[in-house]
Amino acid sequence: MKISSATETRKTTRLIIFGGLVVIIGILTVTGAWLLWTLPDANAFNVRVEQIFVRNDALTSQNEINLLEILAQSGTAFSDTLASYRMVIFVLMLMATALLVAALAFLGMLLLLNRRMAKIESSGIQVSSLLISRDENLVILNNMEFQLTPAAIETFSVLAEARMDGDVLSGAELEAMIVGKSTADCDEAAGATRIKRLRDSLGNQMVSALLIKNIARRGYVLAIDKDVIEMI
Amino acid sequence: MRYIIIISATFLATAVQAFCFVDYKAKQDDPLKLHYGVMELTDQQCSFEEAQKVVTQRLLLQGWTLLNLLSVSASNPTPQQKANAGENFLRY
Repeated sequence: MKISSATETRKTTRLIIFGGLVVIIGILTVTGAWLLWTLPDANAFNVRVEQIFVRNDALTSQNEINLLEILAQSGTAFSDTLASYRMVIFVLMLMATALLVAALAFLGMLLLLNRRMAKIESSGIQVSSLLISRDENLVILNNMEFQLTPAAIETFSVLAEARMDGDVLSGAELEAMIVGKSTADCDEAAGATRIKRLRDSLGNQMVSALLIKNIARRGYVLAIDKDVIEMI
Repeated sequence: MRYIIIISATFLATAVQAFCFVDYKAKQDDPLKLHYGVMELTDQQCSFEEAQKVVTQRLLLQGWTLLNLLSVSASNPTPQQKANAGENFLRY
C-alpha cells in the first residue's frame, strides 16, 4: 500500500482499527450465540435414556427401569449446573470482548503516536505553540523564549498574521505592510532584508537553545544525545 | 353327557371370547418416568396396527405415552413377563 500523506495514513489506520473492532465483536457474538444455542438442555439426557429404553427389548425388569429413571434424573440435575456454567462462560466472553476491543484501540493509538513521534524526530523542531509579545519584543516557541529586535518582531507579527489568513507574502508586500506604503512604492529587496535579519536573529537564538548550548562560566556543548553522532 | 355339554359350553365361550396379550413400553415426561406393562386385548384388536392404536388410546387416558410394542401374542404371558410388568400387569 502506498501512503502519500499523514492524513491518509491516519485514515487507513482508523479503517483498519474499525474493521478489527467489527471483526472481534462479530466473532465473539457469533461464538456466544452458538454457545447459548448448542449447550444441551435438560431434555437431552431424558431423550438419550428414552432411546436406550426403546432400543433394548431386554430392558424390561423393574430394577433396570428404576435405574434408567435415576440416570435420567441425574442427567437433569447436571443440566441445571450446565445452565449456571453457561452464564459464567457468557460473562467471561463479554469480558474477553471488552478486553480485546480495548487492546485493539490502544494498539491503534500506539501506532498513531509512533508515527507522530517519528515525524517529530525527523522534522527537527515541531512547533506546538507560538506566542508573540509585541510589548516585550518576545517570541515564545514551545516554551522557549527568544528576544528579538522591535523590527524583527514587526516582521514576525506580519508573517504570523499572513499565515493565519493563509496568505503568502512577497518581499514588497511585507515591506508595504510594515512601513504602511502601497506595494508599488516598496522594494522587494527591503522585504528580503527584513526576512534575512529575522532569520539571523531568530535562527541564531534557536540554534543556541536547541543545538549549541552555552553553560555559564564553563563553555559550550552540543545539546545532542551521544549515541546519535556518527562520523563519516 | 351333562359333563360334555358343560365342557363344550366353556370351550365355546373361550373360543368366542378370545384374548391376546401385548407387552409394551411407555413413558411420562417431566420428570421422566418409564414403565413396562402387559395389556389384555380382545380378539378384534389383535393385529399389530390395531393393537398399537388401542394401547396408545388406553395409555393416553392415564397420562402415559406409548414408546413401542414389544409383542402381540395369543398365548398367555410368561411368568417372566408377569414379574417384569409387576403392578403394570393388566393394569390399564
